[in-house]
Amino acid sequence: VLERLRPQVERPPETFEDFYRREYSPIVGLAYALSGSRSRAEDLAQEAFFAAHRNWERLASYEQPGASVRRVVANLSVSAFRRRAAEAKAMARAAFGERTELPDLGSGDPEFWEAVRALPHRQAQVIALFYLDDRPIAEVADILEMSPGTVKRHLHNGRQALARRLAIQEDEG
Amino acid sequence: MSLDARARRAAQDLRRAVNEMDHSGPARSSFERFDQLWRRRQRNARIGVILVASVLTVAALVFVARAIPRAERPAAPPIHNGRIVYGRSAPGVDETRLFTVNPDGTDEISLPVSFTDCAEWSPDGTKLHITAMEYPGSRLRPAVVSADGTGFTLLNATSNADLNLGCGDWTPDMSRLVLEGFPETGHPELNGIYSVRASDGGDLFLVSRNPFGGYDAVPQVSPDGTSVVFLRNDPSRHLPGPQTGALYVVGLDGTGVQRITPWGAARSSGKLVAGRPMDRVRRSAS
Repeated sequence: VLERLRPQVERPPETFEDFYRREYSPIVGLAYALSGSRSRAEDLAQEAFFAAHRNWERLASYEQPGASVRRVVANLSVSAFRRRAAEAKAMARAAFGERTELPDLGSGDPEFWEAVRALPHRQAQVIALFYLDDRPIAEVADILEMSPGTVKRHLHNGRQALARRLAIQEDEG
Repeated sequence: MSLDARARRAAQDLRRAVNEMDHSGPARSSFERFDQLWRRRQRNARIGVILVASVLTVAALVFVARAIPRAERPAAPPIHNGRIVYGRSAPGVDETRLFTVNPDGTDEISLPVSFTDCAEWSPDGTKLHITAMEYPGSRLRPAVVSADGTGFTLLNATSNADLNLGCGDWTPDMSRLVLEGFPETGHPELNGIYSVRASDGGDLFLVSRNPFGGYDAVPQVSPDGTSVVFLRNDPSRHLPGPQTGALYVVGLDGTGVQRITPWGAARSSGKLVAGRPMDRVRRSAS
């Protein structure tokens, strides 16, 4: 399952700066889809990149170091502790006169992402990675460290729940 | 529109919005800002580690200090000021005067006090505790005077008009004096070891009362400041000679009084009972 995360020694390692510049936007997008707040999304992304920076020597040898960052974001975004920490950070920013909330991203279908965030955590994570990151089942399974079968089940159940919530006639398996 | 189609379109919209955000807000998304935050976090982490290490070190020291029984702690080293204090009595005159002098006999200073009976250097060697009277015939009270004879202060805050507070010793922190107390007339229950505040003689505290109607004398505070050793007299035993009794120990807080020598054996048991304090020369910072 973790084939893509195993060290690959053939290619020269990417610098963390290049990795950051390449992955920042999609990571923030994933965090936004799962958190619904631009400020929180950027904070979550920052935390995930901090974790990657600490372990970059090891992550740089992986074929997909971004998978690790996505896993951190996916887990942090559903953490109640992380939500409270983000709220505390926002209050601290307000106390120091900084903007507490950045302008919303204004995605075209906020109702859809709101429905995604209302799903059980695992289903929401699978839906976000599958559609937003446009990743195949196997890669989603790698990132979330679950079997492809489990990913398929969460994807199916998530789709069914979204269809009901959004009143869409779902005819796919 | 199917759910799958709507999901893919919503994902495409969000990706586009994120990309536009990235262009409109470079300050928050730039690697330079991330690097700056990373360095700040590393610095804060180092400070945190130092603070935690400091707190743990202090806690460990406090723990170790408390774990060592007080009696096992090394006594503070004596402060040497090099001078000797001694008393001189004029023949036929019931009065003793005090002097300090260098060990080679030079620079003798007559302390401007009279009616004194004993003297004890403070632990830091800067002051002397002496026994004095406010006027001839008044009750004995402790007093302090500097080594150079200045700053004489009679510590007469004690109001008991029948109680004499005689010779004694300093506590190691110089906050209190431990003294032998005895009545002027009658009242044998006043015999005992007392302590008073060294600053003004107030806060009189009875450390131990002599239950035999005899006297308690020459209290000496232990180096760790927790207990007092003194001579206790029992007149019913009719022991031969003056200053005869037994050595006792009691906590400075008045607890745990106990006899530590046989009766009658205290007479020649060293400094404490070698005689009345003024019978011997006391040197500073011995």
